Amino acid sequence: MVNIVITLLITTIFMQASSFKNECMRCHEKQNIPFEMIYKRYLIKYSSKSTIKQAIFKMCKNPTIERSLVPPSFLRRYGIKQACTLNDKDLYNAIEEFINFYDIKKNIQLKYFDENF
Amino acid sequence: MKILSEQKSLLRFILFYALSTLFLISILAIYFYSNQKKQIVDNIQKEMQNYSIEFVGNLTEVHQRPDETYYPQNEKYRTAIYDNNHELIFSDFHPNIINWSKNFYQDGNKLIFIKKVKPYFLGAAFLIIATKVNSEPLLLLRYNMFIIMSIIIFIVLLLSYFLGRQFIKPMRQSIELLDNFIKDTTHELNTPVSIILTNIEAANNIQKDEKLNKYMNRLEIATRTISNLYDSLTFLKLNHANDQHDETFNVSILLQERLEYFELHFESRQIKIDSMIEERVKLYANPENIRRLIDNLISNAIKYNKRGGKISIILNKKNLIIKDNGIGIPANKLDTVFERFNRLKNNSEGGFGIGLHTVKIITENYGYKLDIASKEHQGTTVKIIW
Repeated sequence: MVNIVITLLITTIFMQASSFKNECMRCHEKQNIPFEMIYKRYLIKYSSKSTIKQAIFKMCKNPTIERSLVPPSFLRRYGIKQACTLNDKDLYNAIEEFINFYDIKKNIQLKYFDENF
Repeated sequence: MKILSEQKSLLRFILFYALSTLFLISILAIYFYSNQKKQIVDNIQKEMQNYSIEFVGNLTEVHQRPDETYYPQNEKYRTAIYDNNHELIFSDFHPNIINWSKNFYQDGNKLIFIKKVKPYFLGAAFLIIATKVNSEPLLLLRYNMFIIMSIIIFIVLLLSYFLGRQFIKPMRQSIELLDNFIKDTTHELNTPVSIILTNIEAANNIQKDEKLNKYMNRLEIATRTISNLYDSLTFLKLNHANDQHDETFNVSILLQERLEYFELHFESRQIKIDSMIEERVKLYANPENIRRLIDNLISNAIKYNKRGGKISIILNKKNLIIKDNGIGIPANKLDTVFERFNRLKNNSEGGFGIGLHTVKIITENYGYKLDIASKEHQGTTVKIIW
């Protein structure tokens, strides 16, 4: 019984954690659409994490040309994306994972930090 | 006294001239300082603004680089980037709470410049640039201003002194003219007054009828008044206050003598004397000066009393009080009664206005305290505390 519960728990966690990679990244990589570029486009337009999350959520649930941030040439080639089939919770988790995965701060380094300023 | 009043006027002029000029210069200096300070701060703000443009350019590059990169940094400035929810994204120092309502302000020893960024490279909606306040230009400015102000103050004081001297020149000439006149007059008065008094004393020894006696008394009072006036004028003119021949003497006896001296005056004005003179009150002073002091106080108490009035005289080891119930002094004139040539009455009874001035000089000379209290139409009390 204990084993079943643990197995179920691990499966659930695994399923949740990988929804971004399984549901989003896999498809994007297949279609050769660079995810990092999309993240930077959202960043440049919406600034804060909370507004980025809301914008991606709306785009995933109800994709429109107006909401899309990919270049027009992409749209002409691939068309507008399909609406996401994930439930709201999974979608939020996937977006969270997406933002954290590409968090720009990870790529930036400081030569020095002035503690005493 | 001439020198004192001259110095007082000169000092007043210097103070007024110097203070008003300094006030004006100070306003200009404050304006100049604020302007210079603003210019220094404006320059710093301009430099920070220029750096913000450079920083945003670097930020764009960092945003576009796919690989790991360095945050744009500068030795002179510290920076922080915030998203549009005012949440910190990245910084190279610990920023304090930001005042988002301003785009440039001072926070302690730091100057903070805020620039809105759009598009939001790296998500940055606001760029904060901070720099430490460089107090060196301001200190240099203050030092220079202190030197310049000191020179100006010195020049203003020097100028006001010379101008003051020029302005009081006519006053000095008028005083000198008046003093010379008094000196000449008193010199011319001395001999005839002495002759009259000597002859009155000689005539008093001759048997006369009552009517003639009355005329002689009036003559004696008038002559003594002139004699007192002469005495006071010579005292002031020759500045006998500095001519000290101090000795210990009995003031009680002196006061009694002076009361006897003024007896004819009291009788002629029907003034009642109420005296409480403590015996053997001794003072260390010049008896002539104390006589002048007493004479002037009694003379004033008679002069400004009404016919049939009363004079109370108290003498003890602590003080001398002379009180009359005469016309009194109006409250607005109390401050000026000790000034030379200040007369309460403008008729002949008022004298030259040198009596209380002489009293003041003598009391000041010996360090006595002089108090005067008066109520118009009720009388005056003069108190000298030894």
